[in-house]
Amino acid sequence: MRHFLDHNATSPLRNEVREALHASLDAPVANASSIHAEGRYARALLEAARANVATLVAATPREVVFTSGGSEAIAAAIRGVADRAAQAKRRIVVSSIEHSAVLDNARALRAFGFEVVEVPCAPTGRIDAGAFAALLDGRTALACLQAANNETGVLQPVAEAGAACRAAGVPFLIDAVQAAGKIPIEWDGWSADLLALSAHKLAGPQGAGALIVRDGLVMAPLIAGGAQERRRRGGTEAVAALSSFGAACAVTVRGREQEAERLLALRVRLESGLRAIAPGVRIHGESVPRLPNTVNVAFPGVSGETLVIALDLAGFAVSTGSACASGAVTPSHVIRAMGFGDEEARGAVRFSLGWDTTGDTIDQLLGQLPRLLARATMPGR
Amino acid sequence: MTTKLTAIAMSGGVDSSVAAALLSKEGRPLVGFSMQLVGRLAGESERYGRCCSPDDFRDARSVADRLGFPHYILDMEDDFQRHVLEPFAADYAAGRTPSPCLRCNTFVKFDALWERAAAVGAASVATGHYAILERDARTGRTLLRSATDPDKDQSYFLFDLSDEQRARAEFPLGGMTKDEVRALAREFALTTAEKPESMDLCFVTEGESYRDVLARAGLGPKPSAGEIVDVEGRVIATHGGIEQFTIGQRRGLGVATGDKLYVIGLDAARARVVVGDEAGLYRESCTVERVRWIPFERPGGPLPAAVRIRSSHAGAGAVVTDRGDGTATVSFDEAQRAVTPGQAAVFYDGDLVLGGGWITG
Repeated sequence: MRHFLDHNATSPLRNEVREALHASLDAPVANASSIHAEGRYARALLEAARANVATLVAATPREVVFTSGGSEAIAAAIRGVADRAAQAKRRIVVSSIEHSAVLDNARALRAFGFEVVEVPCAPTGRIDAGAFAALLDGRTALACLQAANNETGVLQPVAEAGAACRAAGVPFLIDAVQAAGKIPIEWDGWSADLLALSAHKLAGPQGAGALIVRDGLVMAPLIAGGAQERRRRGGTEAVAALSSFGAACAVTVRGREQEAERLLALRVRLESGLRAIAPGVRIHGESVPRLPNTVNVAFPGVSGETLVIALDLAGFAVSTGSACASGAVTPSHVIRAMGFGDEEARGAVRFSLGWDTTGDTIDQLLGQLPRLLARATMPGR
Repeated sequence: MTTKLTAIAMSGGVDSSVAAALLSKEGRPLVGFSMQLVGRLAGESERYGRCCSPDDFRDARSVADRLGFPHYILDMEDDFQRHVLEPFAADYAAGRTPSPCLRCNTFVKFDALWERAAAVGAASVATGHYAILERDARTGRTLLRSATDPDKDQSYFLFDLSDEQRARAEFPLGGMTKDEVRALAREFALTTAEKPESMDLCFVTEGESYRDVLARAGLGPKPSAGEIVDVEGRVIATHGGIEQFTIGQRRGLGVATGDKLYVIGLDAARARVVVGDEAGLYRESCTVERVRWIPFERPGGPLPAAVRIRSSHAGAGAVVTDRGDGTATVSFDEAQRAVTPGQAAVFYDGDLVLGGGWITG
């Protein structure tokens, strides 16, 4: 019996989404740009999905640009805006705890003369909105902030940062990949100009995502080569994946409040259980608002890598904060940015709950942990 | 059938793959580990050492998937840096010729890796080494013997494991020949069956030298230029650092004389390279330190043994006298060429490894 507690990595398909995926695969295979009846059917599936995605984030369907996922959406936003930025605007402001999709795309622009400014993170795990705003200036081409951190689940001050961007006339990108489906997303309320989403984080299929783009924003397409997506993204749309992405958004929107309450109760149960088992446990970001499903912890003297492997062998799928290309565990840049040392950053383990998590899963986990922790604790630490 | 979990160290090569397959066919519960040792040191993301490349990890993973046990990649760069690369550099700087593979076994595979394996519940660590372990019922100690295939024998590289380390190690290939291992790899249809033999230092990338690796790791040679002198101490040339030299070396001395000259000594304190004729390379005896005995705590007296003074050395008759202070004297029956400080001298009685130590001079 396996227990899956890694929903922040990929949330397994919900049944409603699987049904939508099957339905679109069974439909006549056609190109959504085609004139004929089959093509119009594919187009209808796509536009229905677009409306569902727009509803999830309180945007309008015409602002939704479908992509192959969150990383493409982020790359398209950063590179697309930088590509068309005025010569005098050569600064990009990002937080230091962004996902590597943001950090690496921003840093890659240094080769083109851009200055990348990283806003430091407080030990709480939350970025200070004032510090973020203070780095915006007339040379700033783009500012990026995540709505919630993927490792700690800490909610970031996107509304304040967005207001500051609006006041400074700086385009504002929100990475909402981890927040979408877990908390309400406020496209207008957060003053976003660009917002990235990924389907598989909300129990949709892998390989689908969206970039929400404010009407009139000047940016180059990351993928040229077709008139699709209002010329914002070339290439034939992946109708089946995107259609089931839409279904995932619809399911999420319908039950979000009750689901958030249910997850929060499970999170509290897990956290109090962890404290009872290991009084020295550190819950990262515990003093500030977090996603209802994410618990990032370090146990004194236990490496995250060891605990993740031990839990896997015992039937529980969890993650460390981050993994390098080879799959080996590297110290989390997020925990380090919060001011902790390498040992704490190597100790971080993330439990992320989701739609298939039950109280039984949490109890089973809490039942196994004392034995696994005792074995994994290094002497003398 | 034992239910205890065994960790198998997997390089992605044919040997560890077959070792894994043999244990798996016995129905043993396994967990596979590949060690990332030098990724960060490779400098550019596209460059990797001969081991630890994504291709090797993928091969190891595919073997584990096929055999049906979990496989993980462990970041062990810090352990490798501390226990292998830094001593490697320090040895060269001190005029010794290092033995990184030996240290990797003692401190990385059978210590750091063992600790991580034990932390997730493993009771032993298996590898694809060619050597034989055998429990001595009388003493309770774990004996180390040469592999059945003399061409593949790796017992030399394993002498410095402690009795505890040997007791929790397993070498499933010790009784096999390389041909048998290849045949098994094909029989089990392992993806690694036709992989070429890995040679030389695993952490050195194709087309570069160990000096490049050390320089990238921030362990490059300090400019320690000095003199090249003859046995009488006469200065005959200068050199750019003693880490460039090893005992027995002939090339690259930058000395033009009529005689064939060899490096016969390295004096780190005075940054001197001593050169002489071939006869100057021979030694009647040597001293070893950090002596380890395997079948017993200490020998009762001077012990006749076949002594291998480097991994490629067949072994020479000698008498080993333990001095009781962690050192021993090795008196060879016949003088040996290029007895090199920093290398291990390993003592054998037939196929039984008696022990060994580190040559100091």
